[in-house]
Amino acid sequence: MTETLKTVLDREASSVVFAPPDVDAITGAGRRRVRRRRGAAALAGVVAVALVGAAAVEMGGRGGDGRETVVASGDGSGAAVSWAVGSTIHVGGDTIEVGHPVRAYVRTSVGFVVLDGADDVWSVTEDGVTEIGRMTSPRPDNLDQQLLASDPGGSLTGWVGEDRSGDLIVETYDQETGESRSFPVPGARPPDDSVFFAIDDRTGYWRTPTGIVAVDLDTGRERQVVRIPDDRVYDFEVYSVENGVIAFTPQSDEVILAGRSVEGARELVDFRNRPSEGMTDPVRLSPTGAWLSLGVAEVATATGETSTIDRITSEVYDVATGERVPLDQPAGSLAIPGVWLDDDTVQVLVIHGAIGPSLTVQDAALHMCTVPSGSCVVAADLGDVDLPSVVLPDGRGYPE
Amino acid sequence: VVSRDTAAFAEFVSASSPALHRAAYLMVGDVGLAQDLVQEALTKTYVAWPRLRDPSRAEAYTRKAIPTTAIGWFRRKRGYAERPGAGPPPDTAGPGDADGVEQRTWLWECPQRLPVRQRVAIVLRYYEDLSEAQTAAAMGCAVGTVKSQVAAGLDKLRAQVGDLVLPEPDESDEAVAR
Repeated sequence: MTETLKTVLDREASSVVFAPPDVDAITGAGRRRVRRRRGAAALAGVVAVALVGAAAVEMGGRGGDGRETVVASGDGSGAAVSWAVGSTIHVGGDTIEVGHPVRAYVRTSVGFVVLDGADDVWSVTEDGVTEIGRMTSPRPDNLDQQLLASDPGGSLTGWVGEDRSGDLIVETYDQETGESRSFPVPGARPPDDSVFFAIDDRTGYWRTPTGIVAVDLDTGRERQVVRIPDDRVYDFEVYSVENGVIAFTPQSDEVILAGRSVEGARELVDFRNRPSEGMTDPVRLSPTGAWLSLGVAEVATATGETSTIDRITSEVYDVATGERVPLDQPAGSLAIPGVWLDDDTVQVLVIHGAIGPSLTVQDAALHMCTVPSGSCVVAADLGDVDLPSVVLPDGRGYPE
Repeated sequence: VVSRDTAAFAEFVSASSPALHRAAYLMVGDVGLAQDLVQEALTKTYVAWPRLRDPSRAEAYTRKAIPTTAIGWFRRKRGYAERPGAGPPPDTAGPGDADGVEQRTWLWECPQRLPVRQRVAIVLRYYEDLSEAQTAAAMGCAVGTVKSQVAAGLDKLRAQVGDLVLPEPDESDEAVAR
């Protein structure tokens, strides 16, 4: 017997006739996956409320609207609900007039950072409203590109801009010092991506054409977090970095992991085993990196160009053990977690109403849910607010 | 509003699917499962289609999706690990040389008894003619892992098939390099 392994494999592979793939089934399944992610993301963009929990707002708000709200404590132990409508940011019972349409915003220890409808970036502090840069223009197939990053416990913010030659650059601004910096991203030009994912303390995390880097935003020293083959770099996404813990997906939102390194991370969520569900933004770690929150959307139908998200639930996981912590979500509601108020309290937006291509809201409220007990209390009642007009502080610049 | 050229994708599927099916079949040893595997890999490719742009990148993307998806399936569904014909290893001598059909069947079943990672590594190395580095990239693992998986797989095959001509890892590296 003198056959080679190669011969055996060649002969066997050639002996079988395969039916041609069903292109319609493939493209249909692909569209459902895309829509599940983007539909859920866009929905989360208009309804998710992220709360950030360090400092009180001391920027001369113009007074409350009479609703019962949780007001910032100012001692770092709590935070106020915030959301924006038009050019106004609502913070607990106070309002801040930015003077420019708020398309996306984030909170810092000093104030807020706002992206307007013309892609200009503004710093909003007690000293006033100052233009600090310009974000790269959005592209229809990339929701992630327009993303403001910040560490709520720090004064730095960042985004992806363009230099005069059109190359993508990462820009940062320190609201404490007023210092701006820019960092080159070699090889990244529109429409190639460079996404500024997160700031943890004073380290920025962004995508380059070769992987994910962590950059000391004071010294510029760069560390390669993970190197990724060219054709996979877009599948890898960093959701959140807190206290040195990184939450990410290596595979287009199918699997979510978290840990102190990419190599040593624990798998927390696997949507490959949950075919009718997908994650919704934002996916956020608690300030100590102990907990991970995300929304999970269930896609009920996806036909033609229309998909319907039937249900959204909040899920929280213990990063150390991988155990899921049940939250006390009201029956029949949609619940989308935002960011963390403190080490064990996550903000959740709870909606009663009909969800789908057109969203009908009967009432909406902001809840604060505590882990590991999972108990939730109402923090702010938004009533029958027109959710599509509401902007929430997750930093994402959703298309208008 | 995602830019996906369905006609171009359909053309890509038509051109690439025969080779993709063959590789998938060698990795999983089952026609239906191979077709499911290719379907899944092509779905992933379709999702990534707008950013792949170049058809050669699309084929590379799909070819990588097949082994990683296969390994993931086998890992999650341990039932798949028991391939058709799995069971006690056959006698080293195998069927007699006179019985050609039986011998070919037996030869084909031997690689199918290997653990999925070893099987995938061997298919990529000796059917797809990928280098160790390319195999590692396709499997999403280190080159050292490829070496150990291939070596372990070949050892098991040698124990089963006797004088079937199996490549030495170093020899085939040179062959690939040439």
